[in-house]
Amino acid sequence: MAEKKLLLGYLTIEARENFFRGAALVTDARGIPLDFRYTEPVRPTKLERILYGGALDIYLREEVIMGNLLGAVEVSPSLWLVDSDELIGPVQKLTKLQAVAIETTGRQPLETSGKCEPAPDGGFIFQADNISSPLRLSVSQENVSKIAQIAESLATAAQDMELMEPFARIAKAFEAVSESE
Amino acid sequence: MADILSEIGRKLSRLFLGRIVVRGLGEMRRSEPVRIMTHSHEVRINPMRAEPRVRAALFVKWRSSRAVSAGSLLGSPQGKKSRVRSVRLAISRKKDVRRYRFNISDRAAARRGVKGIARIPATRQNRIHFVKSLPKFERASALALYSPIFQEKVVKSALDKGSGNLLFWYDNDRRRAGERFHLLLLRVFGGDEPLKWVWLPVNKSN
Repeated sequence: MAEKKLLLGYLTIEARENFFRGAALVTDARGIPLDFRYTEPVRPTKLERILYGGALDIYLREEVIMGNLLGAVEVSPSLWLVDSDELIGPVQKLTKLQAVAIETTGRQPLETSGKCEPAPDGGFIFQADNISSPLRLSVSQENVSKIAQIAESLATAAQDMELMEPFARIAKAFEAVSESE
Repeated sequence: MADILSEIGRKLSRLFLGRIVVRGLGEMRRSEPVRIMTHSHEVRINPMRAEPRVRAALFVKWRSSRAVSAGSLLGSPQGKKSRVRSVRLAISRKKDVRRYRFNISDRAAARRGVKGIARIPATRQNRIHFVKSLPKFERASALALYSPIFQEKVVKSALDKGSGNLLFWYDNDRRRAGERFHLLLLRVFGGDEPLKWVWLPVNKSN
């Protein structure tokens, strides 16, 4: 039986002063895009801001943008990578898949690639490869015990791609969409 | 006779409630002529505070209703009779109470953009300062290292001189992969070309 291919899902939500938008990109282990979904900027009206109050931000992020994006993605990844800790819970709830918040650090590299250790300020420090700074990983409480397995999957992917690079491509895609409007 | 006149006088005095003293003729002859004085009281009400005046009032515009200025409805500065006009403020229920449709979710419909993002190049940052050991090159030194890259899949590449990042595009053939490489940028000393690109297979043991 063939081993299931590792696919990575990237999800980001951009919240600006007057609009929200999001995108989900699924790539293969080399970073080649397999599915990409994005939303147009959602600009809540003044009346909606008043009526929703403080719940507007959460409602737009989790139910509106994330719900539409994840519902539209046709290629299911092995793991979701998000750029904010706040997205972990909602993504796992909507997809029933593991979600990991990932960000770069300016730390000295760990001794070996694939090494993952608890960070002093919470989360984990993870050395994806031997030619970059370590990354900071955050997972939900129920996935803390699975961090070694998650780190192993990410280290495997990092042999063929830069783990953070797709987020930069999504940002460029946002720029391209904005320019075309 | 005098008694009769006195009696008439008493009765008349009752009728006039004591305002007019009716005396008998005998007494009248002795007294001064009767003077009738009228007492009338004019009641004047002076307000203790400034008279409230509404110079102008604006009724809030709601949907299609016209904004109406009420003008001076209450009192006039001269204290004359005010002309009070009625302004109907009845709002038609059917017309003005509308249901607000929250269609935010419709506005955030996910669009498919895989073809669009495939046109955006992938990037690799220069990792040369993380590399501990590199092969020796004659009359050349390594300026930059970009990795990992599947050489066979690259259809186009460019160096962003501003950021120092390498931009490249892979082909869409998912079956073809090949080997992973580091791409090295060398500075060549004394050669015709000052710069040279070198593909270096990634050592899996690294």
